[in-house]
Amino acid sequence: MKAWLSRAVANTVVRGEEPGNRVARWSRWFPTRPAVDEAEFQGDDDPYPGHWREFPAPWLPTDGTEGQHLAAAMDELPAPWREVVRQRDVAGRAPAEISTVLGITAGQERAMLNRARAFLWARLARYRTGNSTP
Amino acid sequence: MTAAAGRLPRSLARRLLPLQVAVGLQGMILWVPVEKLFMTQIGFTAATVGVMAAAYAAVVPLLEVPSGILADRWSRNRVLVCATVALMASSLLGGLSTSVPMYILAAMILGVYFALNSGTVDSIVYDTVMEETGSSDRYETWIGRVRMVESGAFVTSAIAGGLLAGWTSPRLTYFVTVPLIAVAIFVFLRFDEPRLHRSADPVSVREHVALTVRTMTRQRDVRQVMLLSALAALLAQAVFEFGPLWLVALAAPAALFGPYWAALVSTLGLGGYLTGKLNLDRHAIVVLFACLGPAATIVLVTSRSVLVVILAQAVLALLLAIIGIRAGRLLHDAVPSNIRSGVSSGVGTLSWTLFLPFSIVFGWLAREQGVHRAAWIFTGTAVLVGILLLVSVFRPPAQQAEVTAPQPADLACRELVDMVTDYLDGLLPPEWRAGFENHLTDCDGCTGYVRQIRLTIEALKELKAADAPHTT
Repeated sequence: MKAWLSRAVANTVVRGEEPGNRVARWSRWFPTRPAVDEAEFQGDDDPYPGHWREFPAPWLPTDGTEGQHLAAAMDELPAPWREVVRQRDVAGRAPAEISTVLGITAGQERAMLNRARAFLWARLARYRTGNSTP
Repeated sequence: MTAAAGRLPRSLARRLLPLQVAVGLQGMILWVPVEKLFMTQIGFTAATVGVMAAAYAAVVPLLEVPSGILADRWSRNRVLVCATVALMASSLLGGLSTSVPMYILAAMILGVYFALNSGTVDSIVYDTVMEETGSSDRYETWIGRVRMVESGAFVTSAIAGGLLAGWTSPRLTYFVTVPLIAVAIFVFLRFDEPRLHRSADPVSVREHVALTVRTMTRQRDVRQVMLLSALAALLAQAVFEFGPLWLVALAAPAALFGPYWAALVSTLGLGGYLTGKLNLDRHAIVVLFACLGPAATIVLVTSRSVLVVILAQAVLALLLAIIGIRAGRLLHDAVPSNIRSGVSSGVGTLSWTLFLPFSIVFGWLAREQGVHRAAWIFTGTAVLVGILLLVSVFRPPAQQAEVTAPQPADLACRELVDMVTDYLDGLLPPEWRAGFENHLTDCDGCTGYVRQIRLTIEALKELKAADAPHTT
């Protein structure tokens, strides 16, 4: 019973967002999301779909307050991502150790790390491309 | 922020549990199976039932887009809470109703619930899965589980509501629903909402609508599939909305409304199951489906037996569920991924918009001629659905928007950014590594990005010594 229900329901996922009826509504799909904000890349109607809209601007030398910006950006991360990046990049632990401790797979750990780094990159880029430097 | 380092991340299952419980409680709408019975008792006629359906059908598409924006910009959890408050208010007002206008007002508040609720749970599940696993791979599994809980609640509440109405009165089902929904609100508030928002800067609505409209108007096959999808949804909605009127007309006992509704609701799950089993590319099956739909509606015109009518409605609902899934897949294949959700909400809006005049015409016909004769409008719609279904099979879409997986030799920047961590860890397979490096030699943007990611990692190392507030 449970098996067929779950399969039935998995199938209905492909229906997308449909009104169905007043009470039962089905699920919507979402396109996959890259690690970096989708808006940074050209869309299907642009000349080079999937390529940078504008190249990432070069970074200016740090004025010594980088740590504060980074710590603030860390606080904005979802807790599981923050934990992975803290263990791996800040504390420098081995990947295998981290996935064991956190109870996640190696693939999940890398995916979270990649997204967390991309998020921190975007925050740091704001500051290091001239917003708060001389 | 005081999150202790070294703590196990709450597992996905534990984090999503309150959401599942709340969705289950939210599905316990006991009055749904006996709604038409109650409406008849407070003075509704078939014509005013049509007006009521049209009234809420008008509210939903009007609010759907603003509610999506509100969920993205404000808080999706709070939007869900507002939706559930609307459901509770609608149930209470419905139960207190003694007149047609008051009940129509309750139905319009229910429309607010649909608009606010639609797709919000899906986005929350998506983002929670993303937060807890770093990718959306497990989204389908989890949204499937949430829907399973919801379906279970629908079936349970159908039976329970029917029994309660049989023992006491239909009105009581409204009042008993209120505390269940109130508990759902509290459970929603306990849910730890994901911080990620699907898009920090969502594409402007106008742009999205424009793109969707362009896709719809440029490609004939997309237009046909959208129409098939919308009409199948409309007719399914009509069966759920007006189907109980047959039971009222044939004076079925209140207790029968529960099992009837449970049967109708379970066709949705069964439809999903059968779609997996049936080969809908086989012409014979499609022809059978195209004919069976109108045949079931003709039974609704002619039969005076409660059981036969219930059976015909269940068959019709089942067919429409299968056709709806089929149309969803065709649509999925025919449009590029970035506008799929836009197109599918376009289908939603189209279907609500068509439902509005359908309801009024059906209501008027049913008052003038009785529900049985009014079912000819079901037949007409079913014939249209059948024709579009046949067209979709015998003339397959000419051009399919192929969703191409990234290739090592032809990597886009958008795909490269997903591989940077694997690249730096030396975990990319040789051909991907070569593709990655080739891309870097040609692309200053990605070279800069990878350099800056390295700088970010350097800066994170520094954090340990200096001002890291929560290191171990």
